[in-house]
Amino acid sequence: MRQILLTLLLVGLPLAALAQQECDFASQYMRLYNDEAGSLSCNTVRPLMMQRILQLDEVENNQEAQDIISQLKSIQILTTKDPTAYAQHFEQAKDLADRNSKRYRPYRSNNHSAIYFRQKKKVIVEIVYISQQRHSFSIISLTGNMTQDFIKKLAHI
Amino acid sequence: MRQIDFRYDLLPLKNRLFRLALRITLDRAEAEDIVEDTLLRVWSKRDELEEVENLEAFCLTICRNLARDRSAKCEAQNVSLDAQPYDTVDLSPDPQAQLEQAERLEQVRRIFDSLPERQRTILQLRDIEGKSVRETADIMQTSEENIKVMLHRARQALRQRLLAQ
Amino acid sequence: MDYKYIEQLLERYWEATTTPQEETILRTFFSQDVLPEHLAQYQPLFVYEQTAATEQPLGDDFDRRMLERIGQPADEAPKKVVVKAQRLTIASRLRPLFRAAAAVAIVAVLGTAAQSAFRQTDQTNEAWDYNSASYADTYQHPEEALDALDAGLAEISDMLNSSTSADSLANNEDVQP
Repeated sequence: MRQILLTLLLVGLPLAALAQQECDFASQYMRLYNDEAGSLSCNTVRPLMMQRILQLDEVENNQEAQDIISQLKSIQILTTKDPTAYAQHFEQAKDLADRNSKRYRPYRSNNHSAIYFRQKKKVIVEIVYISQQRHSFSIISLTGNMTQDFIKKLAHI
Repeated sequence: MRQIDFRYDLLPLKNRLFRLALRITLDRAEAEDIVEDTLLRVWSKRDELEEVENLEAFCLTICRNLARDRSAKCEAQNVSLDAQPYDTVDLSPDPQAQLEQAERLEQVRRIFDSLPERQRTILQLRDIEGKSVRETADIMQTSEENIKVMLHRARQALRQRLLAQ
Repeated sequence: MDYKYIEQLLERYWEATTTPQEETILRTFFSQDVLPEHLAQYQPLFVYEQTAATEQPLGDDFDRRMLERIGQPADEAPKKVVVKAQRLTIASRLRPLFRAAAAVAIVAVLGTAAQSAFRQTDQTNEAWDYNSASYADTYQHPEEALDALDAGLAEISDMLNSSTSADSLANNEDVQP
C-alpha cells in the first residue's frame, strides 16, 4: 500500500487521494516538503483555541472581529528559516496548488503572492495564501465556513 | 474624531431597546415612547460621547432607567395584557402541534413577565439578548458578583414556575 | 441513551454557573425535534428565549418618524459619516462556530442515535470537513493566538486589497457552486 502511495506521490496525483482525512494545504505542504533539518515550521490555531479567542473581552466587544473570527475554524501559518529557499518554496507551493486545481481554485495572484480557495458547494472551506517577500516566505491556510461576504469583510479590516 | 450617525448607529438599536423596555414596563405603547426618548436623549448628547466605548450598552442603560421611572404598573399586577401572538420557531409542520407550541411559548412569556422587575431585566439582557455578565452589570449599574447572584435567583424562579405549570 | 451530560449542564444552568458556550449547547440540544420526556418540559423555555430575541416590532415607520423629529427627513440623502472601525450591529444569533462545536459535543455525548434527530439545517455548518485532531495548537493562551491570527488575517487582507494586473480570473466575484 505504501509503495502505491509513494508512486502516486511521485506522479503528483491529487492530494485528496493521499489524505485519509481532509488536511489543510499548509499541513500537506509540511508533510511533503519538510526536510530532515526541519527548516519549515508551522504555527497553528486549532478550532478550540479559536473559540477561546472569541471569548476574549476585546473580541466579544468588537462586532467586526466577532463577525470574522466566528466563521473561522483554524489558521496555520507556515514559514521557513532558510532565506535561500524563499523563491523555491514560493514556486513549489504554487505548483502544488496548481496541480490540484480541482481542489484549490486560484482566486487572485500577483508577482509575490497568490490566493486559492477550496470550496464545497457554495462555502469556502479554506483560503490558501502563498507569499514571498524579500525577507520571508509564508503559506497561510485559513479554514472555516466562509462566504463571499466574508471575503469582502476580510478585505476591509 | 468619532461622530454618531442617527440612522446608522442609533436606529439599528431600536428593537433591542424596545424589547428591554417592554419587558420592564409590560406595556407596548409605553415601551415605544421610551425607545423614542432614549434615542433622542442619546442624540442630544452626541457631542459628549467621546468616552463611551460601548454605545449599545450606554443606550440600554438609559432605556432601562427611563423604563423603571415610568413603570406605572405595580409589581403585584404585572401581567401584560396586550401581548402579541407569537411567531414561533417552526418545530413541527402539524398545525395542531404548532398551535400547542404557540400556546406553550405564550405561557413561558407570561412566566417571564410575572417575575420581579430586576429578575425580568437580568434574564432579558443575559439570556435573551445574550449580553455578557460584564455588560449586564454595566447596564444594570451593579457589580458582576451581584449579577451572578441575581441570575441564579432568576433562573431558579423561572424553573419553579415552569414546573408548577 | 444517556442524557447525564445534558442533565448536569441543566443543573448548572439553574445555578447560573454555565459558560456561554455551555448555554449554547443547551439551546442547541433543546431545539431538536424529539426530546426525552423528562427534558421536554424545558424546551419551551429555551425556544422562547431564542425567539424573543428576534422580535422586531419597530419598523420603517418608526425610523421615518424619528428622522423627521431630529430634522433628517428620511428621503434626504444621508450625510457622509465618519465611520469608526467598530460599527455596532445587532445580530441575535448563535455563533456558527459555537453551534458547530455544540453539535459535535452533543453527538459525542449522546451517540449516533442522536444524529438523525439532530438536524443541522444550516448548510454552511456541514461544509467544513477537516480533521482538527491532526495538528497541535502552538499557543498556550488565546491572547497570543489572537496576535498570530491578526497578523495572518492582515496579510491576507492586504493581498485582497492590492490591485493586481493578474487578477483577471473569471467569475472572481462569484462563489462557484
